[in-house]
Amino acid sequence: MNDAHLRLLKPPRLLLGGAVLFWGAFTDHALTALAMALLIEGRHWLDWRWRFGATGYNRAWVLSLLGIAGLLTMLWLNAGGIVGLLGFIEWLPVLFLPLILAQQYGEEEAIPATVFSAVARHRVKKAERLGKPVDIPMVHLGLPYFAFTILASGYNTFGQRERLFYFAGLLILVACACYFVTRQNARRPLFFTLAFIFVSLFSAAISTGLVATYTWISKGGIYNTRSQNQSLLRTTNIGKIKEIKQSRRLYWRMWSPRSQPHLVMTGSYNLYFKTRWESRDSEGFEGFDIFDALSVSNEPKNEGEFALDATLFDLNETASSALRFRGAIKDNRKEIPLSEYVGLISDAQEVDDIEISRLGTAAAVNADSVIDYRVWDTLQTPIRAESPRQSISRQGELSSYSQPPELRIPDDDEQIAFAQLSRRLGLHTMSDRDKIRAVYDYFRDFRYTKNLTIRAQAPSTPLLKFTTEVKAGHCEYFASATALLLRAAGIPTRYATGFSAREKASGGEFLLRGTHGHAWCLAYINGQPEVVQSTFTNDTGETKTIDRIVWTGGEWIEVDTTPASWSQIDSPDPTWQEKWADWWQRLREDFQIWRSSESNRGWVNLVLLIIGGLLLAFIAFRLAGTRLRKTHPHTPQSLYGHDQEPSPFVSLMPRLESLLGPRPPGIALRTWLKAPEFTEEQQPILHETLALHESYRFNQDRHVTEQLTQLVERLKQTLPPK
Amino acid sequence: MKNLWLRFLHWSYCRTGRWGWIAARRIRPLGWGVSVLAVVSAVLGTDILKSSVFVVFATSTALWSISFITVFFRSAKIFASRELPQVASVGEEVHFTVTAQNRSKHRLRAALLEEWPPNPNPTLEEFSHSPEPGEEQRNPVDRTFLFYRWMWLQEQKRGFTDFEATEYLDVEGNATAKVQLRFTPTQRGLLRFSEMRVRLPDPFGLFQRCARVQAETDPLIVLPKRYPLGDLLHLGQSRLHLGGDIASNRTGQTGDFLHLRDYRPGDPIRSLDWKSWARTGTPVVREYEDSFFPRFGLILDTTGPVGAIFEEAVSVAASFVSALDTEESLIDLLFIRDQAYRVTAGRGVAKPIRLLEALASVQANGRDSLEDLSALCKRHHKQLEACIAIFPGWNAPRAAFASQLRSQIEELHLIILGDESTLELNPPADALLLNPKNVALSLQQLNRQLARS
Repeated sequence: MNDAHLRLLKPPRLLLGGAVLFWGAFTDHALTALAMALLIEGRHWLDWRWRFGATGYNRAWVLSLLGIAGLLTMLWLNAGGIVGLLGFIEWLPVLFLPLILAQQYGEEEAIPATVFSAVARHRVKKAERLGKPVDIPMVHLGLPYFAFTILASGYNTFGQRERLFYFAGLLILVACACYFVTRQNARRPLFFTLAFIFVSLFSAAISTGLVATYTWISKGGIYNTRSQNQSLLRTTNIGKIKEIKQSRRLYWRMWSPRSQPHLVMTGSYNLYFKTRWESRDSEGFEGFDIFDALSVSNEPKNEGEFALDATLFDLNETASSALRFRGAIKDNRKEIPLSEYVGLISDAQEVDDIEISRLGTAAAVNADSVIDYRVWDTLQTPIRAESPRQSISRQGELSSYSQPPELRIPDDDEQIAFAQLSRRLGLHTMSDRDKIRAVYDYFRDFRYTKNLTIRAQAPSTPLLKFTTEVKAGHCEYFASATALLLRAAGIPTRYATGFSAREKASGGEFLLRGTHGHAWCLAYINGQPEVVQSTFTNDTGETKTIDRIVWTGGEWIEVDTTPASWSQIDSPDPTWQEKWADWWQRLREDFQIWRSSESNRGWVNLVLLIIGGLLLAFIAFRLAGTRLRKTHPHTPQSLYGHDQEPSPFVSLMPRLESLLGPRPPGIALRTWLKAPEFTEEQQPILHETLALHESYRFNQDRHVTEQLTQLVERLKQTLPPK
Repeated sequence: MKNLWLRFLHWSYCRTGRWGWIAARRIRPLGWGVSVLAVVSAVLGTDILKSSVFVVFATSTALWSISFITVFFRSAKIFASRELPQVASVGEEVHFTVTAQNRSKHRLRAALLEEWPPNPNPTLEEFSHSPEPGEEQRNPVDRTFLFYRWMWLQEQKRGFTDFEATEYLDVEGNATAKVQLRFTPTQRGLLRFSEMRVRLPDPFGLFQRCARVQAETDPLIVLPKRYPLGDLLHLGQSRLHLGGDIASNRTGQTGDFLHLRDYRPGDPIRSLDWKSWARTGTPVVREYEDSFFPRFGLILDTTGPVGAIFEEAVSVAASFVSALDTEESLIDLLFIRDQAYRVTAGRGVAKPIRLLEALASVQANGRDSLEDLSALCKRHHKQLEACIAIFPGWNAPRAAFASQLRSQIEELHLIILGDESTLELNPPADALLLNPKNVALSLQQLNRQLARS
């Protein structure tokens, strides 16, 4: 260790405490933050210090690492993926608390850098063995801790107002840090203030620019970048040349009373444009589909229940069976599978809210973990999916398209080609059910393949090439082509994505893997368009009554023209590695659900609290015995340097003082000990002990330690107890 | 092929080292910290909708940019003169004063003086032929790229630790101020201070300009490190040699009274015995026994590579120079550098500092110079009562040289630096073996053994 700590950058007094309180305010851990801030800043008022040394700092670092490992394990159990694992950032100030406290209350001003690296420690030991001079750099953790704290404060802060407060607080903290970290005689207040005003303005400009750029990109500013939210937009593999590879990982587990394979929908889209499917809202057609939150009830018996209608909360008491789903949500807002006639979602664990769109896509909100829920069907007309209707803009004006989005084929070439195909197949003269059958017949000769080879050249499109020439493709081709062909035949259709439930495990459990992911289309059959008077409130709050075309009297049916062979091609029997991975994932998810259930949560938290308390008590016990005083940090023999061990003779002093009384100031030790109280037997031992003590003390001779310790012990036996 | 590789490594390290030095001087620790924070927050803050970490990125980027711009507005025109001590010692902190004159009409604030070391890059020859101690134990990658050798050689050549003022300079326009600078020499030899700079940080302390300060080149001799020897060696007895009365700087009577004799022209007036002259009427002088001082030899073997063992050998030699009583003896330091050297110090000849200065400039010559050293010893051995020969290692040629010395000098003490891993040959039983990894401890142990015996 060198004297580099004299020139170390240290945060000013109260900055760390302020930063921790700032963190507490933005993460809703105000009480924790207050306790932490008091502990951190308490060093300035408390007289307590500890001599930790490299070993002590090492232990603090290990404690922090254990905390990080524990938190990562919990986040991993939540199955939140990489993004979920990054959730530990929010807890950085707590995780590094042992280290910062060790530094704050340690005798040394800083921590040896070797604490953080076993390799560095090994290198230092090696260099010492070789007799090389080793200069261990010292690190003051104040400013890194400050940086971690402000990062952690902002990690989960969103919303315009919160962001504004965060920005203001951040600027104040950073200004304090930069100004007071400079030595007092090097501060130039005027220059600093002027420069910091520029920093504030510039950072505001950068922030605004970043938000604007992000918005621009997410709105499609760069080709194909419009929104990554799959519940609103689905970019297909149509027109791409590649082999489709799907994950074998388990996405969902479903317990269903139905034993035969069936489709489980997660997303529904109504507008096709250039190989992409979009979920467009009929009530304000410029925007994407709008999700509405499902009803919740304040009744205790209805806790964890979400209903499509307030009257359906009792559905779980009347209906006989329900579907049950369990799986990991990696995103804050992600689509979830539901049954076709869903009326109530009950026993939902780890779900804050569930939203559903008019097209029938449901999403779990604030569910960054494994979720579990039951789905109860209603026997009424399915209200999950809205019938096709003419769109109204946000301003309350009727769309120029008289047709609903479910009947539109935006590309002219595709419109003409599918109309020709429809005429060729004679679909226009058939009933809706016959049309469906004819379409099934048409696609019967098509081949399913995962090797996509269709590259379209104008005027043709990939979908046309698939439909008329290649006749081989992936389920997205089949679903899209079927949807457009049926639209050309006058049947409103939607594109649906989800899973095919066909792999059945023990206990009536269906496994929904990535390879079971599927696309098909929904057709609205036997419906008729009629003009309906609709009331609409526009963006300015003005309510308008509009006559528009709404399809009524029909029903949505699933049309899946993909050859049945796709399931054999895509879903081979699981290998032993997959079985093992499945077992592990199930175990993890089941444990997570078990841990977070109401009945278990209380005592699980109690056990964790006891373990934490015991650990803290053990640390406190260890620290209590080694506490020093800031004002007398080196114990009574203060002439010893920091790195010198006191002589074993020091342990004899209480006995000697009890025999001779306190040693008067200014009296040499040897003179003090020339007292008649010592017997003739004691005197030669005392003389020899003193000689060795002086050699140890003044000649730095450490080789006498063992002999000196033995003599001290002999003297202790002959002296009266204290 | 190996030479080509070494040449390439030397070339690339020289180039990259320069940029590294420039970056290390211009970017302050806070600057590095803010840069890392900007990168980390850029990675973590990509999801602007869910997190405000991008605000940290914006603020750190703004801070970085404004600091970078404002640092160019700082300038200084300083003339400085150093008030250095005559000598310094390895490992001992040196404080000295610098008088700085602000030649600009503007007040200079928040400026820190510092001294830059001369270019510490080793030459290609040094890089090729000076393996780092323990290099053979490093992993194959380290042994291939030799980066640690480069770092070690740079450390060896840098000569001193961070060399900066203890306080910021605050001087009015066209005024003068004094500041204290401090440093710790890490290498013996002649240090030349020729590159004083003034560091001018930006208002946030992220970056700094390093403006050149007009100052003359000042030399400083750094003496080797010395160890307390205790009662390790008691050397020889006095013999008839120059350095007695003739060389003595002491005036007046020395030695015991022998007899009276008649005055002979040239006798000093102070030798006249006035009473006897008065009694006999002829001038009579008092004759005293001449004083003789013992003359000791200190032979330093300079063969072998540059390295810690050689440096420790020089330190041990310096320790003996400091420990031997030059009031009552003469010391001859014998060594080979570019040629054979015999430097004498002692009563009436020179102060021991001369020997220490000579030792400060000793270099390992890297060639087999034992023959030259043998010839030097042969020329002077008759004048030496006792001799200490210090060897940085032990091998067959050194053993042969030592046995030749034994035949020439009655009392010869061999001091060998090395341990089991470095000694090629078993040292003689009467030699003092010092562990170069901890010479101080070895000397202490030897002293204790001596006390017991």
